[in-house]
Amino acid sequence: MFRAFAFVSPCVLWIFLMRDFVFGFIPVNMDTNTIYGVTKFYFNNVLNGVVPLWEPFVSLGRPFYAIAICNLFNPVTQIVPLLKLAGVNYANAFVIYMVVYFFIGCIGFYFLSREVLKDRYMAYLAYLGLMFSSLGASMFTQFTFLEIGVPAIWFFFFLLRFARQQTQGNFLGLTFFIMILISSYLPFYFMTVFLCFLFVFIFLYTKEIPKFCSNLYHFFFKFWRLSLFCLIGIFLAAAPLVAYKILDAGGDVVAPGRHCQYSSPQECYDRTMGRQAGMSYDEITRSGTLGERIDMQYLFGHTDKMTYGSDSLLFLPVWIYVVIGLSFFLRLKRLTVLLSSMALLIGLTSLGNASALYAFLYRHIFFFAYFRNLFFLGVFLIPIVILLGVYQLQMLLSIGGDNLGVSAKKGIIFGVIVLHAIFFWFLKHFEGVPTASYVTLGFSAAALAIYYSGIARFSFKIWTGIFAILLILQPVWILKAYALNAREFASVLPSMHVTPVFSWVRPQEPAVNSSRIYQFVPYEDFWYDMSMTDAPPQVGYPQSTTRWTFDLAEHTPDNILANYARYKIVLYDDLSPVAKPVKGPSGELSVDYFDVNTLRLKADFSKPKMVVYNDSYTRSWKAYLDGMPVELLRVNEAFKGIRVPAGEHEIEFSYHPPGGTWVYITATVVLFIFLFWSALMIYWRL
Amino acid sequence: MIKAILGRNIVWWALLALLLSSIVNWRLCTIERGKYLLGIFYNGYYQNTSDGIVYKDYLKTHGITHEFIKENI
Repeated sequence: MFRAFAFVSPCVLWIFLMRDFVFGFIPVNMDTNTIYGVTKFYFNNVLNGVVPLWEPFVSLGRPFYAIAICNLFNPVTQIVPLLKLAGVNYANAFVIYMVVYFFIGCIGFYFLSREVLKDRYMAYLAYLGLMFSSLGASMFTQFTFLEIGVPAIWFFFFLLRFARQQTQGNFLGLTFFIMILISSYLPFYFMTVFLCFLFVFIFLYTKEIPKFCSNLYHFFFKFWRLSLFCLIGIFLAAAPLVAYKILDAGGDVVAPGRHCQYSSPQECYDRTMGRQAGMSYDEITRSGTLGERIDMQYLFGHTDKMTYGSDSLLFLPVWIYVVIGLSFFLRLKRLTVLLSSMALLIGLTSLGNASALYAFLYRHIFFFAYFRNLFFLGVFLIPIVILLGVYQLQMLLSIGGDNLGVSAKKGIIFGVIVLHAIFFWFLKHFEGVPTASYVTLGFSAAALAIYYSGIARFSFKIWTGIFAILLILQPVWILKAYALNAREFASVLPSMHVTPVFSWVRPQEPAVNSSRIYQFVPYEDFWYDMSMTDAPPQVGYPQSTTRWTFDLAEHTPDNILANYARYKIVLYDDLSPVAKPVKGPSGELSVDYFDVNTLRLKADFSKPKMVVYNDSYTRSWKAYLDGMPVELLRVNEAFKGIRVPAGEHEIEFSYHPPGGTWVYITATVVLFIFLFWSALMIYWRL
Repeated sequence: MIKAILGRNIVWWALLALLLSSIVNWRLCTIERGKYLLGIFYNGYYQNTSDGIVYKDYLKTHGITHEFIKENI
């Protein structure tokens, strides 16, 4: 009972501090806004009975490229449709899912720390440290941090467990989190971290490696069927990403958002149309590095001024730094070197062109050309530094005891006070350090002095409680200030269930200005996906569009394109080259069925016509006339067209990309299977 | 004695600090961060209306001036 209270009460405190976010008074922002839009669009359509593969509302129609990179197939994400069915709106359901995922990450970190430190009290402090770091607060602006961070924490937990005990349950757990890592976002960030880990681990634990490899070999040999199933599971979980890459390789889709941010118009056009899948070194390092996003000054100072909308806020409980500072004179241990070296390598990589390491990796390892926003790697520094700090605390606390003489105790207490004084002097160099940091420092000196003096003979459980207060004192103050600063952003995102309706005419003006939640970053695209209404007919530089639409938009003045594409359907007859826009349903043409992947029309023409659907053409679109496949034409450079004879006919346009809808359904089902399978095997201790 | 001293954390932390200060181009980080903040927040007075103090301080303390903006952005 007490243990449950110890784990649940910090969650309750965290929810209380972040209540305005959790209860939906402040909407999600920045990239989380995007991910919410994608999640809402996906599950809204799934509940309508359609797996969405096409976004007809933006960029004149484009593939639903984000389907493979927003954690949509994770069993935890299925909370969203379940809550929706229970009557919760999408925005609230999405926030609940994020918060649950965050707590799952914290619990994973507890288990990982317990496995590493072999001490549940220290593991509990690590759990608190992660919960009250910036990881939780940043989920409302950069949920990607959790998408890549949470499964990575659990992966390392199962890796360690499997290294110690080669059980089927541990192997399945390891496999399951590899599957999550592959299916939730680009796996390259995790691969970078794993490379850093491997590099340092091989150096430091050379003697243990042959034994691990031998155990692994014997495990594969003994459980070859299980191993084969796990391999198949990994392939199936990777299928959504592979399906998108196949579509991308087909050449119909381009990604101007990757190439146009810092290029001249000509470079932007050439690189986009050249379909260079990887990015140039300059495109990656020009923006989004960790050096660009964080500064030492803001690790300690002005933490009460953090604005909601920064997707790169980073803070750790100040007591973690204090403990690391106190450990200066401890013996150097292998684990200290492992954790700090990992942090160093990840930090250097995420600095981009400010350190030579990234340039080296970019030149020699292929996947470094396929991801940018290197500051995402910064999220891995948070658990590593917390674990490092708690490990130092564990060693510091092991010094005390009855064996120490009076002079030794005095010496230690003197050292503790001096080191705290030095840290106080260090903090004084920063502007705007919160009072809570100084209070933490003062209490820390007093608590450790009492601990080493042996005056108060508390149980270790009590000491853990005292250290827990030291750990969360300053973060509580920061989170409270952060939530207060965010209140000015109160607004409403589309969150109600929608059945999409075909609109014959696109609007000329943006539907809302309030979609600019964060005043500097427009997120209109995802607002239209959330509400499933049409955006004005323009293309811009989105992350994904079809190559013909992009090409057309690049050499057509915006107003001409907007005037033409304003109408979704235009008709031509054989005698006149002049398009006749269709402004609404009539006896001649009406909509029989519409969803995001399909448009079915009923036509009754007096003479043969060319029906042009002003939605982007790709070779994955198919056309049917009265249920029979017919040739789909690319007309007016970028759109879909079909010849229709006179008389009554049914016309259908439908989208069939590689893999169809099955890859997504399969990925979801397989992840559920592996979750339950691994949970059962662990429960049965197999 | 030397082995005992070298075997302490402080030597390792010092080594890491030395490494970080020597191989990282911190000036470039400052320029990139200045550009990022200016790109988002610059309104002619180095102020963001909601948390002006932070970024005003940042830009000032890192020597980011109108001249810097003209030269670098």
